[in-house]
Amino acid sequence: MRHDRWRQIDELFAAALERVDADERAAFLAEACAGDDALRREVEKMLGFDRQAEDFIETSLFGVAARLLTGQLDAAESPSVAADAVNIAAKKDASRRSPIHTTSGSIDDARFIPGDVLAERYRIGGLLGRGGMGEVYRADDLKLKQPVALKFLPDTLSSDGVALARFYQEVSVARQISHRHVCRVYDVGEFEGQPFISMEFVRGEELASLLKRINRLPHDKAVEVARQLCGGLAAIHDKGVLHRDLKPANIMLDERGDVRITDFGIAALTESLTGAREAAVGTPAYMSPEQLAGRELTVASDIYSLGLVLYEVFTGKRAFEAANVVDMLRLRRSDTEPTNPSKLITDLDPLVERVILRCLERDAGARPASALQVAAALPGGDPLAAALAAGETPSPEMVAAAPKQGSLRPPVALALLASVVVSVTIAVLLSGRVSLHRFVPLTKSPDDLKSRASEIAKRAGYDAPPLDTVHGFNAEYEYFEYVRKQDASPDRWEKLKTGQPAAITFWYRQSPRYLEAYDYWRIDPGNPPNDLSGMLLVKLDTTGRLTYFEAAPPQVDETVNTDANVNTNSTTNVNANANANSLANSNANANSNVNTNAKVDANSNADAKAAPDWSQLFREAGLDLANFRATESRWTPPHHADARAAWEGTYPGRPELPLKVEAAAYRGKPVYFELIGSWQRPNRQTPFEPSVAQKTFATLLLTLYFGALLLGALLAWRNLQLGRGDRRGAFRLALFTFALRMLHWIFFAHHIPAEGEVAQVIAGLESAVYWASFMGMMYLALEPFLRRRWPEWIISWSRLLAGDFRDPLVGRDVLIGATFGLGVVVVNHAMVLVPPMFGRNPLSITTNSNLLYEHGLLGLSNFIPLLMNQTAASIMFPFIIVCVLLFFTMLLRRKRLGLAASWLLFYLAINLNFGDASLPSMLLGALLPTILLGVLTRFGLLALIATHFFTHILPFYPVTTDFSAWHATNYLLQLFVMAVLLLYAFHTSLAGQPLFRGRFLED
Amino acid sequence: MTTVSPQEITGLLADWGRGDREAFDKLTPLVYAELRRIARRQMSRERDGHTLQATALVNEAFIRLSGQDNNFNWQDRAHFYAVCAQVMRHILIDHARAHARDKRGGGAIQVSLNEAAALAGGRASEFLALDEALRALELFDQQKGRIVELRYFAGLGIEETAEVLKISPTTVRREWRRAKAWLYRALAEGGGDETRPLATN
Repeated sequence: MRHDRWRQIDELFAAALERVDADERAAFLAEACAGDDALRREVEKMLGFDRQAEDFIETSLFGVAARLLTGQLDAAESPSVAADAVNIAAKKDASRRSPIHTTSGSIDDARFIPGDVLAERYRIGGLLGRGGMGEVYRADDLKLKQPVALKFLPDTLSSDGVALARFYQEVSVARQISHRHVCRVYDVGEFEGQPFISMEFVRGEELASLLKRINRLPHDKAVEVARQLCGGLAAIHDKGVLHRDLKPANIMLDERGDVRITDFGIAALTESLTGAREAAVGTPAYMSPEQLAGRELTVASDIYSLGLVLYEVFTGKRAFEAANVVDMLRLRRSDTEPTNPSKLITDLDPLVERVILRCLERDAGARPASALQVAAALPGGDPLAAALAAGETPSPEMVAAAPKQGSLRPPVALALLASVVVSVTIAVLLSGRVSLHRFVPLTKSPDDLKSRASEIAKRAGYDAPPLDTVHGFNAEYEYFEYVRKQDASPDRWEKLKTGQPAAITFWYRQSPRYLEAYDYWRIDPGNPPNDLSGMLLVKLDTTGRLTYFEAAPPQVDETVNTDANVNTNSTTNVNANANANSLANSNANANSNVNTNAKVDANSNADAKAAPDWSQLFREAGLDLANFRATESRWTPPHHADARAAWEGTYPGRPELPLKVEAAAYRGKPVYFELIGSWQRPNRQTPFEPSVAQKTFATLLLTLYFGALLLGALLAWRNLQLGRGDRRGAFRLALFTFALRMLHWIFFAHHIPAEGEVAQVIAGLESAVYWASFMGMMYLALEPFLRRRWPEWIISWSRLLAGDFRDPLVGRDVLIGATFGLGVVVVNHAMVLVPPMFGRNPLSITTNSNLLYEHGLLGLSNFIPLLMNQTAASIMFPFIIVCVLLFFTMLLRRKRLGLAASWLLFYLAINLNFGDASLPSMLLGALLPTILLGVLTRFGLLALIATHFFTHILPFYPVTTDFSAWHATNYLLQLFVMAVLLLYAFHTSLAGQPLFRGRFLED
Repeated sequence: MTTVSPQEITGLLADWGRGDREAFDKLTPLVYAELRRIARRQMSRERDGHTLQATALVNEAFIRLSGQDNNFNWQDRAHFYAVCAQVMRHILIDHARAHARDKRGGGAIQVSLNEAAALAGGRASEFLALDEALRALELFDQQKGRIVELRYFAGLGIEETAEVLKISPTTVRREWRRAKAWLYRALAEGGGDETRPLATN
């Protein structure tokens, strides 16, 4: 043949190959070879050879060559190796077909013969079978002296680098699956360029052949096989592997009759490599609709195949039956539904039929979410108990799928709901006798107080309109403690009702610039510092009386001439003025008529260097200057001042409470005015001298914090390495925490239209990311231990985390948590009220959480941050309890001892905070840790979270019986949230049972 | 055995890359010796789950012969693979020839005693036929020949072959498919037929 002729044929051959469609190809050839029939025949011949040569020389000879290199292959010796060499190269189909061909035929044509040793390690025992995948040999591992199965893969795999890499990846994951109902994959190897998998050799029988032999399994055995199948499949899914080809031929029953799932994950890979040509006969019978349609496969696809297998196991008949593959495909595409199993087997357990039909839902979303749910739905199934009994750590899905139904009987649910209502009522009624904010007259709303504060500022001479203002409330803990320790009178708390001295103060800041908190977004009276000229801080008691005033004077004194001489003069003037002032004071002492004097002072001073009219500020503070005696000023003002003054007296109507008033002015405008009770410490000058207890506490706290971080990180990492950590759960928890914190930031931060907002956004994100990572990490670290030891505690939690809000167990635990949470509130109130009844202690009250003052009193805009705070804390707190319990249990090796130690620790922690050492208070104090640990051990984590949440419904909010009060908004909103949660929990926990059965009517 | 410096090998590869046939002839025994040495050592080494892997073998040989690590660009590595492929091809053909000779000559009795060996002998001749067909194909289309050499004799994947030959993987795939069809045809239509297209004139 001539060269150009050859070239012509080859080019047309190439062009024809491009055209896949037969008609198109024929048309193309007819046109291209017009008139040259010989040419056309040649090309058609080549196309024929192309079809035949598909597997031809696809396996490289390199391996053989390598062995030749070593001299181990000698021409004259070792016939079997010589046979090998050509076997690999030319797997000849019996006699007729092409010489160098890899398509395999009968069993006699096996690639290896018994006795062959591969890779110096595996001695071939015989060919076990041959499927769409490739050949499977039984072999002996000569090194480890145990039987293995070697599965060779289609030759095409070895020549495709990408597919090979994917194959190794798949096997590396499959290797991690260790489950007694899954066939172990050991390793991959390569023999003469042929990749193979070594895996556990299971002595037994394929489910397919067993079913062929005995038709269907006896019911009990079928349930057992089904459960084992579910367990094995769940273990496979747990590692993120899909089986993709679950069918009776891939399920072995070993010598003991236990299920072993084989061939997971690899089926689809080889299929994609070899194309539809190799698709094994019979497989479409077990494919899910989405698999048939070529759509993406999910866990639900395996569940469908599982349903088909179960169908066959229980009924002995295939769900879809057809004579050949083509008919099968036609049948499957026709949307025919399988006959209901109960039509085939009349005495079939309806539970079984229901679960099979659920698996066979065409809509993947309607099928059971996991193999474990299938197991749980089978008669008498509890995979969680089975896993624990087998000493395995159950997976999060397994925990969530535990068959703990947990719906409440209507009378119980109603009783719980009623007890919540009773507890709330008691708590609200009692709060009037125990909560600080119920004693303080909350007569003025924050808006009223704010406008009053700005009025005071204007009247004091600061009338420039501010650019930015912020306000809030604070509890005066120093005064509170003073009363608690110093005042033993029975009506000591009643005295708070005058509002003076202030137990709760309102603060108001205004600034000529935007207020940007330093390092955090929380603006408070000291952050940012009041150091910019024109900044003002005003504090009022809750009825609007001034308790504190502070204004930053201008940086440059505009009233003074810049002339040096005048400057000196002015200094002298100031001195003179100071002298005049003290003189005035001594005058005041003598005449007790400071009022006039001060006024004269202010008026007579042309350059306004004299003191302002202090009586004005006294009036703002609800005091009468006439009742005060001037004294030497000892408290230095926070800002520069050219005049200072101080007075002594008592609080109006409280002669036993000494009151000192310190004031300072600059250029005739007050820069400082403060009411100082005897409890007040000069905090600016108090050196940092922590007591031994404080030092110990700080050290302990830091050690615990850093220890927890480090240990948490290590444990989380280790759990991830071992594949134990619940990644999905941790991620969801972290995401939820992030959302909570971001919402808190959005609603709580003081947002400003300036570039400082960027820094605030970053600070908000930092905080949210920190908490999210912290929670996620701690969850990864802690949860696996909890899941291993006490999985029954996290069943409802796992379901909630998986998004199953309608689960009756979730509802039950929330309802129970609410009951106990509000019980805790009542106990807390009782701890305040009961001990004084026994006469040992004077009546005490509680100050509530700081959050009440930070958010609770500030109206609607602060409701969301408060709720977010409450939720985040409620999630975190139970984990701390769990952490402590786990720690002690591991340390003491016994759950009981761990519980006892934790109880003791919580008891001490709670009682050091609240308790006075009397028997009633000790008994009441003992109730709290008992409730918390009891709820955890009896009802689990979610119930404990709910307990914490409901415990903090009242202390964070200004509880009141006056629903029309300005501060009732947040409290009412919270009651609404609580009611919604309770109704949801109540409704869910009933799981659709009717509340009233109408028995009364029947009787 | 003469020892060769890595620089020398690099130099030879470079020369060969420029089309110096002599450089290749010098390279072949060096590569052969090295491959043999490494393969021997690997076969004798007892290691858990170890198998003799062609790619590993060539890679190790390459690293040894080229001196150090992977400072070599693809040009060198590609050439090296090509050398390996040709070396392998020579070894195999020589082996098959020796086998075929044995069958005709002194080894006949031994072979007739063993059916498997007889089968192998028969295949050795088919193998020689393949080599012959490949030679014929190379005359018509050198690129197809080299693709077969790299894929079949050196065990390179599609991607690697593409890199060695500096053509696209798609081209390799297409050419490989047609090369197989041509070779298959040459073998299927048997020897001696005047009409077979690959016969040289």
